[in-house]
Amino acid sequence: MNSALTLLILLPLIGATIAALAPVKQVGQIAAVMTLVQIGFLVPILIDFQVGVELQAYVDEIWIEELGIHYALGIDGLNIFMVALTVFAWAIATFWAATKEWEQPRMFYAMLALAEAGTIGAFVAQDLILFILFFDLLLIPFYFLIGMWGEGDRRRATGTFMIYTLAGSLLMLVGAVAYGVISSYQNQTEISFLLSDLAAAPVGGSTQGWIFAGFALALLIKMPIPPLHGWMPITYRSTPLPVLVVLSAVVAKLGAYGFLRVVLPLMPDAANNFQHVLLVLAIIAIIYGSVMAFSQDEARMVVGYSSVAQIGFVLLGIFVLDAKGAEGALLQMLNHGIVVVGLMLVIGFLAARSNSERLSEMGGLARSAPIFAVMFLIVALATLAMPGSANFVGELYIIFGALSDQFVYGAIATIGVPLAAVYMIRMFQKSMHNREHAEGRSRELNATEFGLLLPAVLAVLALAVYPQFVVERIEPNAEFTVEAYQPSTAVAGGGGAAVSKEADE
Amino acid sequence: MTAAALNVLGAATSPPIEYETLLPFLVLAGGAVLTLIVSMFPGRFVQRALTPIVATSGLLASLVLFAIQLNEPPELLLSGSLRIDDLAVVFSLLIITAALVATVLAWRGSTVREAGSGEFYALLLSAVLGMTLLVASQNLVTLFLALELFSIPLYVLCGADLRRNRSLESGVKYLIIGSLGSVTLLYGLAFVFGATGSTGYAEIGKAIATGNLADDALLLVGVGLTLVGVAFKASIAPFHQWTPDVYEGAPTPITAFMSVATKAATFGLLLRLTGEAFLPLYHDWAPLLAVLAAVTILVGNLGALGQESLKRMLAYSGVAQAGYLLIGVVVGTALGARATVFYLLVYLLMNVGPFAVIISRERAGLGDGLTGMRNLGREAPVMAWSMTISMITLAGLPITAGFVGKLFLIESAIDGRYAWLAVVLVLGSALSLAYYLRVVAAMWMRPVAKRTGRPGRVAAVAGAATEGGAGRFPELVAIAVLAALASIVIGVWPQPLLDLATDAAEAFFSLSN
Amino acid sequence: MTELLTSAELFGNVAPLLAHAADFAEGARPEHSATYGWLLLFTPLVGAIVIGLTWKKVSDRAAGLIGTAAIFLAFGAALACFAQLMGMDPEERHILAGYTYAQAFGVDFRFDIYIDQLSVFMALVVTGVSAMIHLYSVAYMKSDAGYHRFFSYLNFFVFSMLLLVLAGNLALLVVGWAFVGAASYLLISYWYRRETATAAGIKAFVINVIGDVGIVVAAYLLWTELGTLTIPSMLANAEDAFTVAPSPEYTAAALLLLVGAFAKSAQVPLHTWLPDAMEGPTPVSALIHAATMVTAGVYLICRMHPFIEISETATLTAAFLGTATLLIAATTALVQTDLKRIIAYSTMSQIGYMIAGAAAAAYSASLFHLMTHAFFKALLFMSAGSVIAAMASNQDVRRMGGFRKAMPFTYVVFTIGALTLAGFPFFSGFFSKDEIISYTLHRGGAFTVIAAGMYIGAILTAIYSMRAVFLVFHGEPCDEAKQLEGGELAHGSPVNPATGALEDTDVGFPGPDHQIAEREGEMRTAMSVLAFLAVVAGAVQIPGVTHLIESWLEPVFEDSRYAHDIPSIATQWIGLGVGAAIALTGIAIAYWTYVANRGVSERLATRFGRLHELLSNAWYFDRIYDAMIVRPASAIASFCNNVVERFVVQGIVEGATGAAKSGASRIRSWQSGLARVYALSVIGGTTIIAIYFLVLAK
Repeated sequence: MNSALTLLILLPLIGATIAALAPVKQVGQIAAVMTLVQIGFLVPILIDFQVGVELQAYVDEIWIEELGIHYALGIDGLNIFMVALTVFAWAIATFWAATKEWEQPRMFYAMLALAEAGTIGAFVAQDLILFILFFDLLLIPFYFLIGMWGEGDRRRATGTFMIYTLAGSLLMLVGAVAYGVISSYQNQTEISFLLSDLAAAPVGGSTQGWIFAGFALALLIKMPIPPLHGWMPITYRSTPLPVLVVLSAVVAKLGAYGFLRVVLPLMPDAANNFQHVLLVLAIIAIIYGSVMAFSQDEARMVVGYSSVAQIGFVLLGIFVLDAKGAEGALLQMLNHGIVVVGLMLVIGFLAARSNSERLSEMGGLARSAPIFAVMFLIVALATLAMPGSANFVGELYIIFGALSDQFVYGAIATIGVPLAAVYMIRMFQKSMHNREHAEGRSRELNATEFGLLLPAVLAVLALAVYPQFVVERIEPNAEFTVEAYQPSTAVAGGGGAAVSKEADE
Repeated sequence: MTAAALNVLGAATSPPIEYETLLPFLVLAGGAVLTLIVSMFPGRFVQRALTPIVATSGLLASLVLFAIQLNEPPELLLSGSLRIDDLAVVFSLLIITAALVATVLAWRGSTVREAGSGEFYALLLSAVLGMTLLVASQNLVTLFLALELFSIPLYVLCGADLRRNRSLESGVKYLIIGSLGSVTLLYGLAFVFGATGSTGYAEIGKAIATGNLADDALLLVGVGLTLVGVAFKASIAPFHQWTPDVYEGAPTPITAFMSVATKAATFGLLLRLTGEAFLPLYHDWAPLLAVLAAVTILVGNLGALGQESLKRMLAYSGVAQAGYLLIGVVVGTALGARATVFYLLVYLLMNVGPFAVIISRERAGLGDGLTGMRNLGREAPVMAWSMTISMITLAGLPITAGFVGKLFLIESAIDGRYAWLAVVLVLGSALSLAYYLRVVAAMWMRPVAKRTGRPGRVAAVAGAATEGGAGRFPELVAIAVLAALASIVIGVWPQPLLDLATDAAEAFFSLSN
Repeated sequence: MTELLTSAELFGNVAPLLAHAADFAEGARPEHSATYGWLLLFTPLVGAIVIGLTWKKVSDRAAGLIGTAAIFLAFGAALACFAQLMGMDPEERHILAGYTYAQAFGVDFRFDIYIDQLSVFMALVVTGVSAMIHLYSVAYMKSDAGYHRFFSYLNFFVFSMLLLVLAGNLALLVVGWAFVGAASYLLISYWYRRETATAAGIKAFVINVIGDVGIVVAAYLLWTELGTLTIPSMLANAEDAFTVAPSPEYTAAALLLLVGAFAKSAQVPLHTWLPDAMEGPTPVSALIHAATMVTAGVYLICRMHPFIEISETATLTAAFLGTATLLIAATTALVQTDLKRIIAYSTMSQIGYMIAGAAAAAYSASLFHLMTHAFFKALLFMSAGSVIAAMASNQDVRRMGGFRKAMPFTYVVFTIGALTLAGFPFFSGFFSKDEIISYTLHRGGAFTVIAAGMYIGAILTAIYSMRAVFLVFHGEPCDEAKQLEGGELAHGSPVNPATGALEDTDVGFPGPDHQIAEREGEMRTAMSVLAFLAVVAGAVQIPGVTHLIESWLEPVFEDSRYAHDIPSIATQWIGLGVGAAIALTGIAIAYWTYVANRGVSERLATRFGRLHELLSNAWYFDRIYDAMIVRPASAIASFCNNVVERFVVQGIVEGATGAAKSGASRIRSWQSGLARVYALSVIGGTTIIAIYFLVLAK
């Protein structure tokens, strides 16, 4: 039984228990060090990952015999980088949390670790019910993280977040069980929730429609996509920043990942019928997110709504049902994750310098902080997908994918690009340039702050210089997920494929 | 003289009594009597220690005897009035465990002193006897007999806290409304007997199936009234209204026992009736029960939303859980039965823990309100954690037994063409999050975030709750922790309880249909 | 066409960055090795990084020298490329090298550099002029606090311009395009404590991003038609596209390329950012908004000429919009009072000439004008910088006057620049501008109207360029000039003209002491070199005598339809004659209004008040865009914030909780606690169920 992935899921918990044994003062540091152990554990998996469609490090044990639920885990192009992003974001979040004082620290780091275990589990799960189980499990730790250590009206925030997200995912649970039962009934196969089995025995006819609706609702709430993002403003305001790093950068990706892993392969007809609905939602998300982002005063809300706009692009990439779109979406999910980690750190440092998170109360912080200004600029330019960053490559593929199948949607979506420039440069400018605010004090990044921000900036630069490392590993899986939708075998740029293929060999 | 009458007369000669299979019931009855006798002797030791020990040993004995019966072929006893099959055994085990927990919870409580330990435990044992007979009943007469045998002791037990008039009020209220329910049930049984001419479930089922009774008004109304009587006992809306007041008033150990045992007994009966006697009328009563289930889920969850008293909240939550359990019955298949039985077993785990915590807070003088729960996270982390896990299990969140239980219910609902009921179940449990998490929030989260500074110790509402508050009663801590651990273990590895549920469901449903 | 085959797959899963480094070192076959190209591209970047990193350890002067040295090195590398290409036979003078950047599903996004005649020509102009400007800045920015930051950004800008020019892949060209935009944003808002500078910065950046998007969509359309994004193979595939009638994709692609070009070269619809960009330091204006960045649009049109030529609509749009910009900018420049904005509008108008010329397929003529324009426009900005320094950073022309005696060198150099701009005979501007006009005239048809517009523009150009000279240097000296004649520079705390806020000098914006050309050696050398080039450069393309540029660029543009359809030498000389006459009349008019009788311009302004108003507000473009785009955007934003967010989005949350609460309260009220009420509901429930079964029984 290849236990690599199970160990990967349990490692955070082991780390947290070891940290819990330490005296109260050192719990944070030890928890942070344990995240490095995780990175060390993940790197060999990343290195010897073979480009290709089939699952690797595959585990499949029967869990609940009567319901056909398997404990199945696997790594492939779709989730390898999501797992890497999870481990990366959590490491930085834990190190950042370690620099702060928390009440009941043992419980805080235990909850942070449980959230990570849930997220990794959700990404590597290859069984539908197991996916939903992890999908909901990670909500519990966030409930405590936001409720106990949050700010402002945190009880209402954590309640709203929990119930809003869970109501959606419970509907998805009904959809999932229905899919399993009906598929075993229609295809006379023994009931099993293994994704490969379900894909082999799809559910036909109209039932696929309302199951799709159940799934779409839950995943759209998670991404979040307007108008289902009601929980986002109140939750983002109350979540402590280190937790917000992982909530916004990684957990939001589960929604998009759910579409690629579950909805597209299992419900092709429904995806086709609902395609235009989802595309319209994506366009709304892009425009609504951007418009809201450039009119917010709180820095968190700017990043929050900018994530809504970026996730709108990812949704667009997914639902143009074209290989290029899926490729772009997967790449954007990774890029957006890295960039949001950087942005949240920047918000924390800005707030520390002008003890308020409102852009109107910031200004001129670049004065004696050139390194901070340059690093913030790199992250900001990557966020607005400036050509040269890997985000641009992602958006290029999404726009190429969109234009090749749904020209109108692709054309409208391009409005999002200049809007992104507006809200990101506005944020950079309002905080860094112009005159200082009354009590704002501009000072350079100290060692810890620099150490925290550096990995995110280096990741952005590394991907900007050589995105092929990621693009190559995603390609087969992006093609596989949307295989059912290819109208004809020839890819739109017919000649293109031929020319570039022979150029490659 | 109709053949039925002759049959009754004929039975007048002494019926063959199978003593060895009846042993568990006899042990219970004997235990009750012995407890009474023992408690007559004066002396603190006798009252405080000896009586409870006698009662618990009686329960344990019958538990063991029932356990032996597991996986034995079904047996008809007392010429067809009782049927000891896996369903009866599993439910009896569940009921007796609930009783054992109740005795432990009540052990050093004030109620036992008030009501006299002998009477308390005797009544408890007789109620358990009634319930075990009910789940094993195979005949309308034994049904009513067993139902009354367990209801009446409960009426008295509810009023056991003589000093507190809330307890008396709950006892009287349970008596009045309870007897109204029993009367309706009796009325229904009479109609059914009138229509089918026999009292045995199997015969009734055959009579309905063979004869053209399907649209006989008398039979249908009879079935209706019986279902109402049972629905009342299982606190299914709109007959649930007695539950919140009775649960809140009654002494907490009794509330704990009632919330689990009565439901188990009534759903055991419901499964028997719908699975055997009324099965041919499936298409008549199923839609009705489905509507009732939906209403119950809605009413139970909504009712619990704003509650300040935890016992009242758990009462409404019990009503909502009854709604979930009804889904398994409505579907009318073996899958449904298995889901209901499994969920009932899980229900025991997740419902007992909170009551133990409530009792510990009550004994610390904090009452059963939500304010009593404040800052439990800091004062008694162990109790707080077990309460949190129980709450999360009740809400049905992942890696807890509640999630697996709900999974089975959803699967059976969809398999039985009642997909919309699954949606109602899911929406109900989403709604239930609000009040379950409110308790968790009260325990762990201070309402307003204080910017900096050490968190001041919040003085308990009535008298300072010393750290040892919960510590003085280790048995309460043990139960709470055991329940929480069991919920997680079953959540991760549900196989053992699942086998029990499958055996119970296979007892009279053949798994194929 | 050589191509490097080593892509990441070949290397298996060895760390891909290693593969990336190997590509550089190995290079293709020896004689076509692209090492010079890579050297040319990456020297400025190295310079930028070195200056950036050694920010505390190295003195200001050293940083300036490193920066200038890096650009001179780049210029050397450009010359080496030029020599290498000269060494190859004319027909296949191009090298393509690079590595796979992001290739999937037929989208071949490669990091390639493409060295051919056009890109080397542009590289030479860019690095040459940049070297001079760096030299100038070493002295001019001496008193500025952010010295290191300035040179690091300037080097980064040159790197991005070279990346744009050398890009061998259309997607990589977009990357260079955006880097240039980012560099211009950083340099415009270099004095980031000035509100107007940061506002101008974001405006320039957003319009640049709109240009990016235009090119990306154009790249998609061309990719669907040609199947590749690599520029050489796109141009090769373009041949067969000629035969078939141009499909709508081509027209759309061409128009979108124009959108990109117009955003970058500040042509009419997307030009409003250029005058505001004058907020940046003067060397920035000289480098970015005169010599290099704004010419990127012309380069793009020349590089992608087959696709522009194919679609008739695109060429006409380019021509007419170019001429419109030309006229609008020229007329606006007539009434501007800010010295740098006069030169900025003149840049816009001269680039209008180049774009219209390129539209008329006079590619080498436009590129020739691009080169000469780079020389004399950089010169004009530098001398303006010197004058502004003398005026203690005050740029208002009306307060200047009579600097002739105080700053003789600047006066001479400024006049040379202005005369070249005006098209004074035998100066370089004269040859390049009139060559464009004669080619356009020769094209005939609609282009005659374009040529007429060009001639009108020529007169206006002569007038406003000499106006600047006469207003600044002639007339009785203003008090700053008198002080300068007395020997010391004027001082005073500068105030931001637009906002009136006191300038914050400790972060940037030269403090009390300024540098003027008369006193700084580097400024003088840089300006005199450019002055020499401005005068002499015309010799490169004297009709009938020399045609160095035309022959050098000939292979690049031979696939254009009008490649060999050029006007005869005689017509060109006639054109030159007409051009000379127009220039001289313009100069005379300017002399008459601004020196002979000074009051004329005021009287004219009062008489044609409304026209004066129109022109001084740059034809109200700013106000139109503000009303059409900025205001509706903020209206939508507030609508989303207050209405949509509160009712729709939070509505879902409030609605759900509200419903739940009302349900809960109703049930609680129903729970009255009275036994008889419960009994009632039990009986009620029973009767309903009994009736239900009775109904069933029927």
